[in-house]
Amino acid sequence: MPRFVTEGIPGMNYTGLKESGASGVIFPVRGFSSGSFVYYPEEILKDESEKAREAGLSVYWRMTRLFAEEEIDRVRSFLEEYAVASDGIYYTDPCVYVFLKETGQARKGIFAEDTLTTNARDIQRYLDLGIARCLISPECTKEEVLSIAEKVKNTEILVYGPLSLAKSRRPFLTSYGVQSPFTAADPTGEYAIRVVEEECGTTVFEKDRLDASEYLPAFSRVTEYFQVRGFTKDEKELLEVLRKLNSAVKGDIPAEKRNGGFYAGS
Amino acid sequence: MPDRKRIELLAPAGDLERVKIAIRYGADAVYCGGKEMSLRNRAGNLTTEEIREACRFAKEHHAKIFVTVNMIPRDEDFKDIDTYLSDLERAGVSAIIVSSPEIVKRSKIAAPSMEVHLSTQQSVMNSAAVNFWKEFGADRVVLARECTMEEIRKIRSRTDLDLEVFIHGGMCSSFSGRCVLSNYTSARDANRGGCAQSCRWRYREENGEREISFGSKDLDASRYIGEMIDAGITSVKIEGRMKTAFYLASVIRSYRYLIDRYEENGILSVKDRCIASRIMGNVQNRETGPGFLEGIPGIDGLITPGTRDIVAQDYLGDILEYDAKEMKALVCMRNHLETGESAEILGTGGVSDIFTVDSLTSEEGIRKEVSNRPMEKLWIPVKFPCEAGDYLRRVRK
Repeated sequence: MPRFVTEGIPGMNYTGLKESGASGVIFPVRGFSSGSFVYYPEEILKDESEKAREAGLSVYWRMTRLFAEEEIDRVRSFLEEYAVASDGIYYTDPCVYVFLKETGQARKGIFAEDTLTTNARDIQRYLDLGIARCLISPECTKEEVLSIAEKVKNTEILVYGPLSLAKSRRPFLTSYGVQSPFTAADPTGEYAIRVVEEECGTTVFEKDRLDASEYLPAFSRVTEYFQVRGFTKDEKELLEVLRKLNSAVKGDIPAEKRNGGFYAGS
Repeated sequence: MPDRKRIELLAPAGDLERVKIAIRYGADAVYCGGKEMSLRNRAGNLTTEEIREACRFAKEHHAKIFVTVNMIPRDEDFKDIDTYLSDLERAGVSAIIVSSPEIVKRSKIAAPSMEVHLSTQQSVMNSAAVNFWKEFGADRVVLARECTMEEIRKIRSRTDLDLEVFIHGGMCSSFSGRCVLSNYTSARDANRGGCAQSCRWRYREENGEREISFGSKDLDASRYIGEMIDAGITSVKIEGRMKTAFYLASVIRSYRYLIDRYEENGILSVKDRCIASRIMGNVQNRETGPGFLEGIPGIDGLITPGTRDIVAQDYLGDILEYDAKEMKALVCMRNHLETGESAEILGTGGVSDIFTVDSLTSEEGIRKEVSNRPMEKLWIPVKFPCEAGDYLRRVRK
């Protein structure tokens, strides 16, 4: 049974999200996440999570930033107060795992780095820490994803949304005096990117969203968790995408051009 | 001066010849790639037999050899990993530099006498992450190049694990290991040794004229050597397994000088810094800066579109032998040189006095005014001793 876990939009109709086929909602937490389309400030997390739970959704925090030394006390305080209110926490920096473990909640960790988890053995090592699951890096090909997920249980696959190509601590756009987001292409014009700068740095995305619909029938045979990364503030658009993804699992895939990302191969 | 462990100067080498040069010019330890699982595919890298020879040479000179096993692997890359790790251990390798958690664990079983150093590919930026990796089995963590000096000091104060910090060389524009721009634009896997440096390309605004590039200036942390030593950093690291022997000799000797002077006197004088700078020479082919050490860099930390690499052509040649009786050196020439130009010699002891190249004479005794054939061998009068392996450098007026 596939479970779609999607980034939410603050104040959205969570019942609608559930009815569109989501099993869980991710709240990218302002200040603790990066490269997300929208953020949830701390002060609304508890209210929003209550609403999401009432709709029958699992609730997750996204805290996928790398944290500098002066920030980790704030990370610890946040987790001490809020971790208990979530069903899982997406993270990349081991400090999040360390602080979850301190409070006996390591099992809530979901390691979700975009690049480091490219093989079954490393993923198993992360899972051996006692966390809930691990994202298979979307830089893998479809065949690699299938092979990894066949070998390791409790994996998650990114199936829709912006595909991150690079993360930096540098303020690239401010440096050049241009506004965020900035859409550009390489000298050949063939490879388009979308550059987003935030307070904590810059994320470079592939310009076109990832849409792994055509791989879902195969992916759903090897794992059950599928992630949709935030791409819109339009609730209707999000719900429509979820419905399409759910249909795609059953093989109902509209013939249209879509970006299969690295899953499609080089 | 407080009693403390001597800081380690860690230098790169792309092949066996450069391993030996790095050690001769003052590296306490040298890191190089093996033929397996290394992140610099184009660096040549060393066979296991060459690694054994590197370890033998290093031991003879009281130095150590580290081997990079730091690619972010796919499943097939693990084939024969245990055998490879135990081969490295038997060869005498002191440590491996690793980013894969599986290899951290496997190494502890297959090659328990080798230390495991966690690669900067894991982008460790805080003490909790350092302590996580310590518990996981790492003996040392290479901090992310994104740490400021202040952050490095704080991390140091909150962990007892050995810490390694980059002090010189190329910088990724993004967090190391978190960039697949090269995969996207060139189908070359950045995290498996194929980085095409797509960050240095120009990216033109869609429906506009503005261009940006993500390319970073190279790191030069020579100003921070004293602070690194005082902070209790275990190892300072030079980047550049692809760099030439001449580059390595210049950079290593310069940092060796700074470290030795600071450890001797507890302070670096203006004269010390001038001497170190002179030893380094114009070896850089890109602009340099302090990276993140002074804080998060803005435009001043970037190589902006249109900036060209620096082509100094100051590397004139390699000294092949010195004739003490005739007071002349046989040089294998690498760049254009005319009589009357000023030059100096870089050796393992530092740089010589500046002298004028009075004449150029072929091995057959034919006098020349100009050397313009790379690899030609010429005798040049040098009034002080030098030795095979030293470098002849141009001095610009």
